[in-house]
Amino acid sequence: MDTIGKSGDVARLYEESRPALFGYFIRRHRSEQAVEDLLQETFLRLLRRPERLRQARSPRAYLFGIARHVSADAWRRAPPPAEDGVRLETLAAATPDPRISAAREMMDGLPILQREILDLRFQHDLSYEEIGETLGVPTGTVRSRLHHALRMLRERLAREDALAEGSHTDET
Amino acid sequence: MRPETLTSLAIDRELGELPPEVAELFDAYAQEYPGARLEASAMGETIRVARDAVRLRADPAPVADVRHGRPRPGRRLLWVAQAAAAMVALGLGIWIGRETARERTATVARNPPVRPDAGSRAEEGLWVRYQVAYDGLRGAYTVAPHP
Repeated sequence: MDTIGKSGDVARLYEESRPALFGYFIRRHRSEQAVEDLLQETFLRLLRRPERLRQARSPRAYLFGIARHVSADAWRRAPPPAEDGVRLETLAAATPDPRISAAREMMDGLPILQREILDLRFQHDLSYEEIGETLGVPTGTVRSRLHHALRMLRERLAREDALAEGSHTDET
Repeated sequence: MRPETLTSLAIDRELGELPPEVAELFDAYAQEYPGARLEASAMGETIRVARDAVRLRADPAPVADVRHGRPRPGRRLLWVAQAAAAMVALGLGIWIGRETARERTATVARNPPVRPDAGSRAEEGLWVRYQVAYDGLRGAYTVAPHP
């Protein structure tokens, strides 16, 4: 009965988290087939040590932490294929807002850890603490890195706005 | 309040990372000072752009160096210094008079907000100063009435 209860908790967490984890993996690995395999691997790892789930402060963060390891291992085995990336890039290219394009350009130049923090916050809505648990870094580090990225972005946007105003003035 | 402190508070407020009491203090501060309102608005817009950019941008990059085991302790001395500096700055910068029906400790008086044109009521209340600081070691804000 105790074993069944534990499996039920994991199953429920799987159903609740599957969409979010699917989004996490598809953005990194692009192939839906590969993503299904990665999802299975994530929950297999979770099932091997279910007691850690109960000990975790945030089950969601713990699960994302496993997913991160699974993703890293998959990258080490083989980089993701490029063919499924067209869909996401097309959607991105359709964005007319130059500020968003500027933001993307700035973000592409950030260290990987900072980009991960931005992704976990703005794509997956994890809190500072949850991001810290997922990445294995202190909450204060998450906060400072995120703040730094946002300050840089603000400066970049201010420059873009100034350039846009200057162009508009030249035209008039 | 130092600009960088204000910006940090504005970011945390926009992201919902401030404890309720700190958020209330910040909102009251922003209501008093137009500069703070502008900063909060600007950071809100920056965060909106960041969110849109992240959601529209596929990131095929591998994850950062995956480390097993406990998180690293981080730059503790720097965070202690920053937390102390933030406490001093906010303690000097935030003067808030408030009227509240909630339970407070004996050191905090319940008072109506003091406005520039409320001179006739000033004698009825006291300004209460709060110390707000971010503890980087704990990863949390602390709020305490200033003695």
